[in-house]
Amino acid sequence: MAAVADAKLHPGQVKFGIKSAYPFKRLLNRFEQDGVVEVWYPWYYITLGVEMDTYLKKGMSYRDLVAVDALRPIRERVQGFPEITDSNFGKGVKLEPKISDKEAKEEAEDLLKGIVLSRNKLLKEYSIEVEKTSLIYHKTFVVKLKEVEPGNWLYIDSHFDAATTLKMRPEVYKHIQKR
Amino acid sequence: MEDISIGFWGWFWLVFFIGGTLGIGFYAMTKTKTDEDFAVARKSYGPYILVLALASTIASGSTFMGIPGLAYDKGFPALWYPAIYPIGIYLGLILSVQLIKRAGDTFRSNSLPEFLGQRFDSDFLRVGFAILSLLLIYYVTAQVVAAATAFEVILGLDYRAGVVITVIVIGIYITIGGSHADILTDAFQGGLMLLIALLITGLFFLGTGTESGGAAGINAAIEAQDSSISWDNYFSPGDPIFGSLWLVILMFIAHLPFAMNPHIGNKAFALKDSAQLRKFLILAIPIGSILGFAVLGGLHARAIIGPELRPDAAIPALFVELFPPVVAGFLGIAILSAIISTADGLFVSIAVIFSNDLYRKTFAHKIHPNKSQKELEKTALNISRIATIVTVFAAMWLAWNPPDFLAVLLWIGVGGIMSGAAGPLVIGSIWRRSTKTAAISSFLVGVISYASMWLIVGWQNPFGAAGVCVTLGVVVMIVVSLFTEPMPEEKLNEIFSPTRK
Repeated sequence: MAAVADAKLHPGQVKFGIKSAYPFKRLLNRFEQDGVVEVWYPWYYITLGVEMDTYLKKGMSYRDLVAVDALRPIRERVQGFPEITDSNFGKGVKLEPKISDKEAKEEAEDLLKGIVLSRNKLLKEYSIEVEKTSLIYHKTFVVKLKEVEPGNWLYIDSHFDAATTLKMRPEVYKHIQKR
Repeated sequence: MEDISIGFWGWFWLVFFIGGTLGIGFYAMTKTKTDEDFAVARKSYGPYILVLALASTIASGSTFMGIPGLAYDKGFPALWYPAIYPIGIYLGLILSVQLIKRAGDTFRSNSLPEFLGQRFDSDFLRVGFAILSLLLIYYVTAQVVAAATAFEVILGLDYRAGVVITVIVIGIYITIGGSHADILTDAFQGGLMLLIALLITGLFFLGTGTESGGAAGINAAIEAQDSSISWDNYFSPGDPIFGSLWLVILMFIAHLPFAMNPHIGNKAFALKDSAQLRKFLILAIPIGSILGFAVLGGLHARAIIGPELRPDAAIPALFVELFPPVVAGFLGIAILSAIISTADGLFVSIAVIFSNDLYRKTFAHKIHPNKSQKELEKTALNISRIATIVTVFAAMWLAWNPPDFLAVLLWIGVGGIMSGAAGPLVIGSIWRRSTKTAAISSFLVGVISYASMWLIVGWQNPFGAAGVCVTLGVVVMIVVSLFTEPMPEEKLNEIFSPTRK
């Protein structure tokens, strides 16, 4: 059992994916869908507490949430957790994280540090503490396209509104090639 | 009597502007709902606010003084400038911003020089671009000179008193901390400038103050003064800037890498969500273009006032002519907005050059090998504060007795940065095959050829010189890349499609 964030693939998302991946080609080519592969993609969600004093106000504190990609060096501040269920992966490809939760914590801390430092000209002191770490698998999709090479198939992650060609996501492409 | 009135209203609006800006700053700081708002302005700003902030940063004192002055002097052929430069600037931004944002986020770049160093794995490029960017001090100085001149013309203030007031206003202004304050004040100033630019455009098409009215009325009045600058003339033969189509094309090329100036390109890092990048770029072109329309005021001033003015004073004089003192005085505020919103970004960029590019990324591990990461960051923060204060005083000192060659130095800075950045940043962002050797060669050729154009050839057209050197930099980048060893595929994947090892 693992924490997973489910998702459904709508035709509109495929259309958006084609538009994003092929802004010019789509005008000339008609792309036809030829099946979908489900991919379970790991993200760390890190809750952090930030405390800071500025020259104008002391003792400010708040909570923040950072999502750290477990396969790519990418971290993003996010509004909240995705809807999580405890379940099995079923069919589809499950990708394993390439970093530990300790490394993910450091990255989340580093991201916040950069933002707090660069945006506050009157900052005096600050501290950032990691409170909780969760590993969550997002359900994402590889959309096969007829008469198109696998590297040019679509990869869609609806949790982050991301759509691109598979070759731009080598960490996923590698596993699809193995199948 | 009228002068005293305008001076009075100028002061009135100045107090209103400073009060308004500081008010917005403090409101944003103290009335934010949570500490989190203060600290990081959580995903608060989308494309609309950031486009205004970007437009106000790009538009400097010259938007309301220097460029309309060109139109005042050279007539309708000067309209090439507003027609060309927003397209050039924003096209350059569109070409390179996606990679810069993605890779910049990935590698945690705090500045464009740092990003450049990471893209090509080169300390030389990072330090070289950082040192070159220090020439931005002349850009800051030019803003202070423009503000002090505006004070002189509109408020009737002594020039040096204008320098002191400008520096104090900027000094107070840049200490406004808080994420919301930072972004909102720039957007507020962008909005104000947009209104003034629209007002100038409306007046031009109404032809206010001319006999027959409309744009045709303005043209008729200009033609009566000098038929060689009316709208039947697309170019000004013999003019170093608007003399031919080739010069106009060079002007377009020169502006392609303009957004790669460190104080402008870093706005891309502030966008809350990569998915909004497209909307941000679509909005940026029309809004930037509207600010460019301020040039029409120069033509309007020429039509109704005649050729006797100092060109830089064209728009202030137009407003004095057409409006009651209360409105004319307000113009000074638009000019001040344009200047301050550009200058504050420049101060921050110069501070980052010292604290990040030179100290943290280059010298810290040599001079402070035993300091912890936290201690290094604290030192970097202190360096950035000191650098800001030193920059303020340096700008004041340079503006006190503005050197005759200020414009030359300013353009060696801006034009040099653009000529040096075009190959490595713009081509390097869109072409995977770009190599490190090519980037270094292109950077050196761009900068050295630009400096030579000014100092040895003595070509008095900054856009033309930048256009030639940008083209040269791009050609060197492409040709040398084709003949040198490509960068390792692994490194390219790190930049264009990064994965963890």
